[in-house]
Formats: sequence, structure tokens, C-alpha cells
Amino acid sequence: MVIINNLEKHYGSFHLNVSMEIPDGRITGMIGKNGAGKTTTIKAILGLIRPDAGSVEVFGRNNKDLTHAERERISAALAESGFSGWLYVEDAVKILRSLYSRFDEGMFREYCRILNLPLKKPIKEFSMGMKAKLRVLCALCTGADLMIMDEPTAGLDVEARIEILELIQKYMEAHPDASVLISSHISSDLEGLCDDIYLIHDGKILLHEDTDVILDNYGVLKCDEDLYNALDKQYILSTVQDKYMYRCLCSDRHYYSSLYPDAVVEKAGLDDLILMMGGKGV
Amino acid sequence: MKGLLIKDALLILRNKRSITTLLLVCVIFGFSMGENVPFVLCYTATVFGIMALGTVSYDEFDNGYPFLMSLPVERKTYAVEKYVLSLGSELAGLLIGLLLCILSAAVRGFNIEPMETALFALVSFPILIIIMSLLIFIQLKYGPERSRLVMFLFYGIILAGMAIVSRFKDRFDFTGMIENISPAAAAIGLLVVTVLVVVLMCRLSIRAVEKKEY
Repeated sequence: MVIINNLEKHYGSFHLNVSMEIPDGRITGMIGKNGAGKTTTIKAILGLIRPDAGSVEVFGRNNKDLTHAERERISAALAESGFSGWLYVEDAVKILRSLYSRFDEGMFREYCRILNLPLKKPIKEFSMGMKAKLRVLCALCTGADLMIMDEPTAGLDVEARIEILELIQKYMEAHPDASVLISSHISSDLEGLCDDIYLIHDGKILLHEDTDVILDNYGVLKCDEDLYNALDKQYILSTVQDKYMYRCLCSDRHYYSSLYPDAVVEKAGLDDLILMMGGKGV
Repeated sequence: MKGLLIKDALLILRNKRSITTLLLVCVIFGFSMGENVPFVLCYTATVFGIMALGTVSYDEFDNGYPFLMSLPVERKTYAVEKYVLSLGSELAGLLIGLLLCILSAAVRGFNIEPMETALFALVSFPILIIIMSLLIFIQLKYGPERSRLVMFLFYGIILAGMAIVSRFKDRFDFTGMIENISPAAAAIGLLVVTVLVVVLMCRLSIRAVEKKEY
């Protein structure tokens, strides 16, 4: 669905250089700290910025050359950017209807009712959560084959986040061939949703792995200096040394559990990946 | 383009307070100054054009551009739509102004010279179109904030031009030169200049929008 080849973008001291792929029928997550390059990557996919080098292919074509019909197959829910606050949801219906031939008005109205989004109220009077729900709903109801979501749950309470994630999940159940790229710095949101994860840090992809593999196999090994020195480091991805111990992120915790039965090996979550791979290692 | 036109029309209509005030002022001017047809026509046409141009600010408000440009809308279409909307609104304003003058004449019992009015409308509308085309380009190129500064420069250049013309008015008989041009040649000349300016400004606007990053 999307292939990014050596995409480069430079802003002052920030340098983005990424390659990644979003396959058909998958939800791909992109995690990383604020300023890691998630939004820049998303903007490049959507053609909002021009790459300094490299290319972005969408539906097998350079994203600069997409036809109108192909652009209709892409929808986006961007962080803090949506319909003008002066408009009403009712207006958004009219606009989306005229822009997307596959816009599902019935679904849109039904979800507005379920999510308590008033049709006849200016969007600027909506709460942050309501605006986020509306942005995601707009993206979901266009009948898109590719959905790009930049921090769709940022700044929301748990209930609103769950509602949004459920919306995306339901859409994928109904459209198994569609693809979603979703970025977030709230890793728990992505753990239960994404098929695969890209970890981005300082403009570079540090890791790409299936979510199941991360959650089943990745671990954090805690050891003292003696054990660390003697450690077989073939599956160690990153090590952080603090006052009393070494914490090693590994890609096969079962290996270390069996090799060092006395060592503490805990399951690793996406937060551990962000913290340990994006931090200052040993 | 249909979707963008709908969006902009809704944006204008949703801003009820501003549009009501502007329309009310147009009606008051139309009725109270109906005998001054040129003023009313220019005023209503400009007000309607500026109202349409204001949608650029609404688009930028609240970081709206990234979302707008992620919709299935080509950047070229976005720029062209602003021309269609603003110039169309100016024409609508001109016609509404004319209607107000006719109503005012009927109510207050004065005469409007049809030929003179038509001639004025035909001369003033292209000039308004030229000014609006420049304004659209400045808005799209520099954005609502920076365009204010550019507008000051723009007005400064116009004033400087007028100062230069007045300085040399004794050496060159500008009035005589204008009077020597036949009405047909003047009309064709104005039409050609208008078309050229609109096409040039539209092309420059498209390039400006295409070069922008959101």
C-alpha cells in the first residue's frame, strides 16, 4: 500500500531518514518520543511536505503523481488539524459528501449519535475529545483504503481513547484489505491495535517488528555488573545502566530466562522500547 | 472544486454576525446613496469580494491547512477555487448593488441613467477584478498575517505611482492622452489587461500554493 524509500527531510539540526512499508490489510503503528519524526513522516506520505531525497509510493505510484480517484482512497486524521471551527458537523457532512464518492453518510450520522457529536453546533465549541472523535470519524467514513492517523488519541481521557481505538478496529473488521498507519506516543494504545510497529527516534527507524513478537519475545533483563560482563549479548538490543544495575532490552527473553535462571527477565512493552532504544545506552 | 466551494460558502454563511452587518451596511448605503450608483456598485462588489477572500483566513485558522490539503483536492484546484469564489462574489456584489440602486430609485423617486450605469459597471468591474486578483495572490503567497505587511507595501507603491504621475502631469498631458483613446479601444484594452492580470496572478498563486509545505 505504501512504500517509503530512503525518505529524507532536513529541518535545521533535525534530519529525517526513514524507509518503511505499510502492507495491505494491516494496522501499522509508529511509536517514538515527541519530535522523533512521526509527524514529518506522515506529512511526507500525505504530500504535505516535499522530501529532500527519497520517495514515497502509494498504491504503487509516487505520491506526487496520484490521480484524484487515488487521492479519494486516502484519508487522514491529523493531530490538531481538522475542519474549521466555524463549521458545524452538519457542514462537514456536506463537504465530505461532495469530496468523497464513497463517503458513508449513514455510518457517519449513526456514529455521531453514538459518540454524542452534535450535528448542529460549531466545532470550535467542541471539547478536545469530541474534536478528536470527529477527526477520526471523518477519516473512517470516507471509505478509504489507506488511513493515516497522527496521534489520534493524544490528550484524551481513557474512555475517549478506547472509543477511538474501537472505531478503528471495527473499521478494519469491515474493511479487511484497508491499511492504517497510526502514530502515537501512548504505546498502550498501539499494543492491542497494531499488527506491526516501527520505532522511530531522532529521525531514524530503530526497529520494525510484529507487535505479537515484541509482546511475546522481547524482554528486559536486569543484571549486576558481573552478570552483565559475562552476558551472551547476541539478542541484546540496548542496555541502560543506572545506579545499581544494568537493564538490557533483548529480543528473546525466553533465551535469557533459560540461560540465566537466576536473572530477572521481565516482559517488555512498547514503552520499554521507546525508553531504552531511544535513550542513552551503554 | 465543488467541495471547496461548498466549504467556503458554508464558512461565509456560518459567520452570521459579520455577513448580516455587511449586508445591512450595503442596504443602508444602497438606499441612502442610491443616486450615487458608482459608489454603491463599487462598495457592494468590494464587500462581497473581501468576504470571499476572508475564507483564506478561515482555512488557516486553527492550523486547518494540513487537513485541508490532505483531502482529495489538488493544490491547483484550491488556488483556482479562490479566484472563482472571490471574482464570482464580486460579480454578485455588483448585481446586488445595482438592484439596491434600482429599488432605491423606485422608492425615493429619482432616475438612474441606464447607459451611464451600464458603462460604469463595465469599466469598474474589470478594475475591481484586477485588484481582487492581486489581493488573492498576496493572501495565498504570504498568508493572512504577512499579507497585511505586503498590503502596506502595495498601497505604498500605488501612492508613489500617483505621486510620480502628479509630478509629471505638466510635462505630459495624461488627460488628453486618455481622451484621445476611442471608447472601443479603451474597452478592449481594459479587457485584455484584466484577462492578462487574472491569468498571471492565478498562475502565480498556483505556484505559490504548490510550493508551500504544510
